[in-house]
Amino acid sequence: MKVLDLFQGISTMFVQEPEIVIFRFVLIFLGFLLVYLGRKGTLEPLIMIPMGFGMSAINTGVLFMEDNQIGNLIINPLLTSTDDLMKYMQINFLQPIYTLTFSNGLIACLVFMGIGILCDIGYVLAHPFISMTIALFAELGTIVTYPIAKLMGLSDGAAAAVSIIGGADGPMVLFASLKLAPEYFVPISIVAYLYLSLTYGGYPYLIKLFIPKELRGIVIIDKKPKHNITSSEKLIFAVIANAILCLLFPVAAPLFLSFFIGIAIRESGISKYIRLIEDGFLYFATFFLGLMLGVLCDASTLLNPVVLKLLVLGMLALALSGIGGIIGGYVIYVIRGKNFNPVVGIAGVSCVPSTAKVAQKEVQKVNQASFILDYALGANICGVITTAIITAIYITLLQ
Amino acid sequence: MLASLSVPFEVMGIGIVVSYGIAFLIRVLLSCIRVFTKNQEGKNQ
Repeated sequence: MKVLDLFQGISTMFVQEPEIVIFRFVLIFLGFLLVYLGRKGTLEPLIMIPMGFGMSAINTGVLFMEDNQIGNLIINPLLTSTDDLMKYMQINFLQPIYTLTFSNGLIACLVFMGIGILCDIGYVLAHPFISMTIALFAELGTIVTYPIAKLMGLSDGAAAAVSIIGGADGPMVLFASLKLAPEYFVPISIVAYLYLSLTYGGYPYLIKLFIPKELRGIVIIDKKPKHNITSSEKLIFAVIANAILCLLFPVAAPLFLSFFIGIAIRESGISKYIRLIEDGFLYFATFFLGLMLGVLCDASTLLNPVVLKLLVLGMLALALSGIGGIIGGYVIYVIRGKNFNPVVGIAGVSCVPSTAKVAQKEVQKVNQASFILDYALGANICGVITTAIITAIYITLLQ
Repeated sequence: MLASLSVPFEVMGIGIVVSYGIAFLIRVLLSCIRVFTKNQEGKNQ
């Protein structure tokens, strides 16, 4: 037996196409980099550490399978026939998770339930029109990217799925790409999560670029007396909004149900379910989401010229949404007679709660006395709702 | 091609109507709940 036959991860490199081998090396080192950046806190560690590990493992753990086919014992995302699925679920260790939770959107819904548990809808109920206006402006990327993607030659479904990256909502991108462009589900999801981690680092520059220092420090004065939103009011809203949105857009009913049931459980104060969803479902889903995105980064799957287009379009969608949000902030600033901080606009991009935290942090760098978090969280949560609505409309129109 | 370019306008139009519909629903719901609560409090007193 040759030495190389013993070490199949290496020997497969001698029979694969040179570009695949080079790309394998690139992805192995990218995996290392993601773990490093996750550990350092530059990127979101909850996603990036498992993703980096998965990425390096899938590109190193390559071996010869039956009939000298090249494969791995981790996952095969391209299976379609039921027989193959049953067979590989007993061979690949992550195949059951992928088939039973990923490719049907369950994992996206579990994350969404967790987001529902974390969101205090009271911020939206306190200023519904302001929050919704900002969130709608922050959908600029999801709207404008679509025609650009079409002009770049993408299909209707792929163009819509990559546009949803502008909504900055990971589970929504997963759900949309599964429904609209299953053939690009893997690269679109990976591009989305890579970029979503970067919003925390990139959006402060956008704020500094478009909002002058004197406006960033504005203190918002509430002229009307504040009315405390009770848990019952939030619960009634969750029940009715869920029913209406499911009625209007049944294609996205799993997402609406997951989000609003999370809110309903939070407001009902069922502590056992809150713990189950927050500590169990959410972390289970986030861990496997990261790991799965990593192992889906197989060199031979990703070596596709469309991936480069997706990289460009994803970045464009997120940047446009950030700019749109800031424009929305300015619009409210003008409508309210300058009694509004336009930085809140960036929080309309629904990366809960990252963009709201970014907005508050940037404001406090200029003026310690300015507190905008309640407005920012309202816009942030409305961003989740508007992105779900936009996704549902795209799916309904294009599926 | 042109037909598919109308998609974003449709998405935007329907999105605006539904989103503001939700905002309006919030206002109506909160008002109704507050009126109902005040009436209940009045009856109890």
